[in-house]
Amino acid sequence: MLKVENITKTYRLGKKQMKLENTKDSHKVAASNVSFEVQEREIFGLLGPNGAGKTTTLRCISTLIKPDSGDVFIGPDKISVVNDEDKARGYFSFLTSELKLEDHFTPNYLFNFFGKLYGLDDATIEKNKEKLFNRFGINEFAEVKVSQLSTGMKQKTSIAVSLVHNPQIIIFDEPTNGLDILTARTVTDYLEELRDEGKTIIISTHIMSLASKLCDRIGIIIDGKIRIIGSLKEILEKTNTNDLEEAFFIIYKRVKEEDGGAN
Amino acid sequence: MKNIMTIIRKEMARVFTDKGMLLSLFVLPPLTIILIYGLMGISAENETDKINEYVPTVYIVNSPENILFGENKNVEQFEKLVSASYSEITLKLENDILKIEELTKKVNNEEIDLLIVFNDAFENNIINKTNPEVSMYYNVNNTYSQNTFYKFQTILGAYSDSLLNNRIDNPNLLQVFYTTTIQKGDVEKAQGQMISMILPMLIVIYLMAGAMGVGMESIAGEKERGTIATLLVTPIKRSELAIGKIISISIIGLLSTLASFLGLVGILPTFAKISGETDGAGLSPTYGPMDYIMLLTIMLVAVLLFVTLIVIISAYSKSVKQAGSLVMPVYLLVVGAAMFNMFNQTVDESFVPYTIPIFNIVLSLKAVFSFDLLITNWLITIVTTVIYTLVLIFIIQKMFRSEKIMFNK
Repeated sequence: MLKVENITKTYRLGKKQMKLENTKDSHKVAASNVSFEVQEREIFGLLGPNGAGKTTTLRCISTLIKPDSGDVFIGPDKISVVNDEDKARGYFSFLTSELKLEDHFTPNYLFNFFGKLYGLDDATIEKNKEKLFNRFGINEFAEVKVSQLSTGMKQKTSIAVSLVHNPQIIIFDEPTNGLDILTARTVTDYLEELRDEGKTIIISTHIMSLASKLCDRIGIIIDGKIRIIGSLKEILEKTNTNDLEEAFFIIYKRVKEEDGGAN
Repeated sequence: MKNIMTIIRKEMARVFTDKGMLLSLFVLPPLTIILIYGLMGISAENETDKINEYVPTVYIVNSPENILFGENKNVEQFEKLVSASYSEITLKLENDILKIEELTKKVNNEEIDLLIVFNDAFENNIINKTNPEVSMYYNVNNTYSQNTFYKFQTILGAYSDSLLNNRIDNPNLLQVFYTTTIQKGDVEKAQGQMISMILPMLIVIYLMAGAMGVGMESIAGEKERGTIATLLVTPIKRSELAIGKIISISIIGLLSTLASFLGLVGILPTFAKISGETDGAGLSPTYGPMDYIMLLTIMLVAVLLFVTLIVIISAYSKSVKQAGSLVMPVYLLVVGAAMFNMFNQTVDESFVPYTIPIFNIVLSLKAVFSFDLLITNWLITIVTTVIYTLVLIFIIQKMFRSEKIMFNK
């Protein structure tokens, strides 16, 4: 179980960024009091347009950045991501297209290397490797340098390596971003398998069809704030719509109208 | 500690399984040294051979004939003395003084290497003890002409001595006193001083250069490619990551320096030849175990300091390219400190200079080679450098924790 409590993160904008975002404000609130819970055997989707605060929220959860306020708690022991980040990292894996594997090494070497960093013994590493390499068809390429792998195989290797420690929580930023249709399907199928195994999964996406199909619950985030949380059915009922895309635009329009009114 | 070892092993594997890196870190530096100094040696040798094999063209106007000073006292004609000094020479004799102007033009045009003009009545002047004049014309822009001139200065000196010996009954009267030179002091220390001029500079340059390539690649390169973020989401502590990186870069830097030194040792005889030594004796004073301990410890702390500096700059940079341009001023600072010490002949015994970062490393290296390093100053250098390194490691840890720095792509 993972509980996100009132995460707020503000960035200071440089002159260039202020010009790009057409604002006079030197600070941008990327995430504002973001709160949600994700249970075991659940895929939670953070849905929003570009710049809505999805990646910032996931980065705060995965300890890559520290929130200005708020915290994230992991498991029944409520391990604080803010105060006990080294321990917390052992419980989850964070996947994003920004995180790359060193081109010079082979999937086999990288799997062993990261396994050791997670404190696993050789037998556990081998056992997990066998399972994941078989699942993603990496065996054939286990001794090929990452630089020589196809984009799809690189992504599969990234996923396998990030799951080396069989984490309870999996955080995936834009899981199908840049993948071909076959690899994307492999990834989404695997996420469903992981959920069925009892894992807690959070993904971020701006693809409505992916969120509709894959997520048990969805949180729509716009301008750094969670605007609605619920299952697909609950969101459609609350917005009185038939599909997620339509629901999203109603919420988006409402937010922009409120902001306009406030201004 | 386990995680630090894992990071070190990975960094080592990165370098030792990459042919390009092996080439640039361990093969090219010694090869460059061998190539540069080897070419310099070959060039110096060729030049000497060329000069030795060269057959000079010398014109002598009014070359002196036999000069009789009395019974059994005579000096043979000058021409014979010249022929005895050269195995091969194109010697032309001229008695027409009107041709002097034409011949000087030929010297100017490098057609003649040397023109020697004796007085019209040279022999009579010698006999009558009225000092005659000998003029020598050579071309300052031509090496062969210059060398012929220097050689003829010696020949003329010998000729002058033999004339003098015949002119007076007791030539010893002209020698007012004799001089004898006796070298005192520590000869080894004097030899060490020559090494202490060059080696400290080379050591710090190699240490810095060895650490630079791999250091920038290991930090800025990983940041640029996004691979460091993958490490940052594992449970490894930032301090473990920083220390693992620093130790591995230091080991690689030291090994690269060692490779450069092997190249230097290989080329030492040539180096001696270039610097005018015939057998390299001036470059081989004997250092004791304590000197080596001091040398190695100084090199060790030096490489740690250089690596931490490079890591800080690389962590701050967005790319290897940016790191390269930011490291350059530090590299120049190191080279500057080394150069400053190279020409500074006195070794400071006060402890204050041994507390100045980087400068103290060069100063201590210089003092080790010249047998002048006091134990206290050695310890001050080690302790202060370790303190500076620890401060920098602390900063690196902070930087590794900073999202602004680690994700400023």
